[in-house]
Amino acid sequence: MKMTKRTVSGGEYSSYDPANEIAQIEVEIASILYIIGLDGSNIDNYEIDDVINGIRESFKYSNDRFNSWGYAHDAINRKYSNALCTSARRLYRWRKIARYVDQNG
Amino acid sequence: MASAWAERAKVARILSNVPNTENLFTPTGEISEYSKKITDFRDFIGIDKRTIAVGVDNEYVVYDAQQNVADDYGSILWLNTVQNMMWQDLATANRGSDSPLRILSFITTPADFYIKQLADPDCDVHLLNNLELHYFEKFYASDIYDGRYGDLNYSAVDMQDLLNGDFENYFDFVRTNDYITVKPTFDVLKAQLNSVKVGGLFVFSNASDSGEIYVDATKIFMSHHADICRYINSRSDFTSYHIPYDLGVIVAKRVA
Repeated sequence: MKMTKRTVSGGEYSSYDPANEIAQIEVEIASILYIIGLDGSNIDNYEIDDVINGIRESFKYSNDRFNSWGYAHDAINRKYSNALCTSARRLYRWRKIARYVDQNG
Repeated sequence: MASAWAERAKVARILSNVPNTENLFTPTGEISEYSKKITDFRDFIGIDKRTIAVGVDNEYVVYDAQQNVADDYGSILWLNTVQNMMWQDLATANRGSDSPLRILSFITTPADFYIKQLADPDCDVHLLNNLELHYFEKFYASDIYDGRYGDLNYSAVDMQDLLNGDFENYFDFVRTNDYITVKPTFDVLKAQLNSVKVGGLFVFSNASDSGEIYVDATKIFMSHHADICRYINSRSDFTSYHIPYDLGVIVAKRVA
């Protein structure tokens, strides 16, 4: 068991490591890109708009307001579209903030 | 008119005597000040606020909403936070061990209960390495915290190491929420569950997607949040209890 951890004591509160967080965020963004058929090895090529539009294209569903769940495939696609969009949005937001912290402290 | 949810929360607040929570989620409390600092910081960075970049997501507005918090909403937040404290309080009372209580947690709201724990030598707290930790260190521990419990002691843990299994069967208590755990895959959830010791407890707050999965019976099939809950339920090494009030919570004890 490797068990790496940064212990804080003595009133110096600086254990956050932005580089490690960015690395994890980028792995998760890459996974989403691969799921929707984009190149996960080049995440800087894609803005959040590209990713959200790619998710919507890959998991299309009806927005029929008179039949909120539509057909079965609409329900399933909506579930995965929502889950992926929420994750992608958070990851892009967190990445921007973590990169700022990495560069500016 | 206040919602029934807020009314119940206000009654719970009046009829509970949880120490040091009188000023929790009030307009003049530390969390209001803390949330304002985070909101100002995020505004300064200029995060993308367009609809396509934000969608409908509580995570995006949590700190905005905690500034100068209104009485009704403050009571709802109070109830959710106090319930998390309650599970830990009940689960770890009289545990009959001399070793420090090993905890894996997150800090979205530096409630006094959690701050006191960080200064308690009987608690060995580990916080996940994420922006919540950065906000806590920069805007609370180094700024707002007045040292009332002495120095705060804790360890930071990287998600990569948790996913690698470096902390398997390690913690007495794992506290998590949907922002950390609800991902397209179950990998993070699995890693968190695997990090609980046999006999230890896993507490997952906002297990209901802010009540969404309770709206009608179809939601537990149509919601990814419910899939996350169902995965916990499928683990034979845990006895899990889904408690469907307030934001919903899953309390799961590792039994094997």
